[in-house]
Amino acid sequence: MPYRRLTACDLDLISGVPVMSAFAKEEISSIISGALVSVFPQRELLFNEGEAAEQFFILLKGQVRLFRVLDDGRVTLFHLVVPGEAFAEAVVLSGQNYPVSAECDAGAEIAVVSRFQLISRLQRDKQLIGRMMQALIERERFFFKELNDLRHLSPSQRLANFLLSHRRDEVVAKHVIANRIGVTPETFSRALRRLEDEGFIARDPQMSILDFDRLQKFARR
Amino acid sequence: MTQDVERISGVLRFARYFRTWPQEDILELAGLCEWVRFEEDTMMIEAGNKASALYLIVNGHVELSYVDGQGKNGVIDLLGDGQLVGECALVPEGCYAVSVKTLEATTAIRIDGSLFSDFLSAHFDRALTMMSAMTERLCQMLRQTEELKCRSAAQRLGIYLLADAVPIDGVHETPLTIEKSALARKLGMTSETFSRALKKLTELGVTQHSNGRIVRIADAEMLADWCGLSENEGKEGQVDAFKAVI
Repeated sequence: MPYRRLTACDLDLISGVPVMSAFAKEEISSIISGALVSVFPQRELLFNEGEAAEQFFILLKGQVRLFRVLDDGRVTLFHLVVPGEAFAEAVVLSGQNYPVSAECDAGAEIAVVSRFQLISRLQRDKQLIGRMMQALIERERFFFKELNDLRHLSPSQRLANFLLSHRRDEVVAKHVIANRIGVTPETFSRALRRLEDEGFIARDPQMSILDFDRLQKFARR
Repeated sequence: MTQDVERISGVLRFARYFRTWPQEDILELAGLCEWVRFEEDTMMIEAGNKASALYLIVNGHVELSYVDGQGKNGVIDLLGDGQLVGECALVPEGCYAVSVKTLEATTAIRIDGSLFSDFLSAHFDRALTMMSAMTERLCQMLRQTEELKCRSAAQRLGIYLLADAVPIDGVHETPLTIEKSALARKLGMTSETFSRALKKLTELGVTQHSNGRIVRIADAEMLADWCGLSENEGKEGQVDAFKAVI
């Protein structure tokens, strides 16, 4: 199987994975097996349900299916892993067997972390466990806020929050913002029109803020 | 409040978080715990307060709510038996990230945060299983955000009903064990939206019985398709697959 070296872009993606976020970027290279990325030229089975979980994986490119084959031969798809997502890390930490099987598509690129390497690293530096727990709790706080916003703020308010928290000189594509705040393109257009009609933002491609105070009040009312 | 190591260890042994632990570790952990009983509508944990303990819910339902920068309170989840809240207490000087309020009289096991943290420092493998449980929780939260972003209120309600549905006489039935208003908040919708979602589902063969305490699904596979679950996820008997996406 071909390999390639880890890039700065990979490290950015990997450091965003909760279980890895306690590690400094320079530490990550020493934890990823061989500091290499596995490149899969064709569809391949990564592990089978029931095998000892000796490695966990971080998908950098492509797609991975987590599935289970039932006794009668039917296949149940549990999850489609997307780039930037880790899988099997919980079972690796708890020392269990893989509860599902995993198969990647042709062209997938995956960073592999061995249980042995991770555990050795944690055993050498006991404080790291505390840092990892702290990082997981921080990540939990992020999701609490995210869930709260999705449940309780209207699309216009979520868009207002996005604009308020974003640097003005950085232009972000509208479909990216729509995806980030969790709305369809149609809902995004309606939300945008509402902010324009209220006079909070300009009708320009940058969505420039015209009235910061009123927009802030609207975002949280 | 009574301390009762044996009874507590009996409960801990079957909790998802600790069931892989050896008996001696369970007993040691039980020594750090105590039973607590909260009346209905009682604040167990208040967001922002110093986190001093974790709570394992033994019997009852609690509501998790997030308090934003302006002090506004929004419900983000509803938890029941076997769930653990207050992991922030494992971090020195940690504060609770969310508030937890009982929806009914609730029995829980209180685990002292600082003693538990010391215990984990001395038991490396147990610390790993706690991190594993926290990682799993994060994956669930990620899926919840995906659900909120990608599915309509009626689809989310449909998936919730399918997750707990049991086959009876050629149909599927789901018992509603919590108030509809609490269920609406769990699913991230108002009571009005919940009613509209339920009405929408009646067009797909979902009906209420026994004063709304039982929901009957005429065709679970068709409902699963409509909710956007893949063909395989919708197969009968694959309850876990439904639960995984809620």
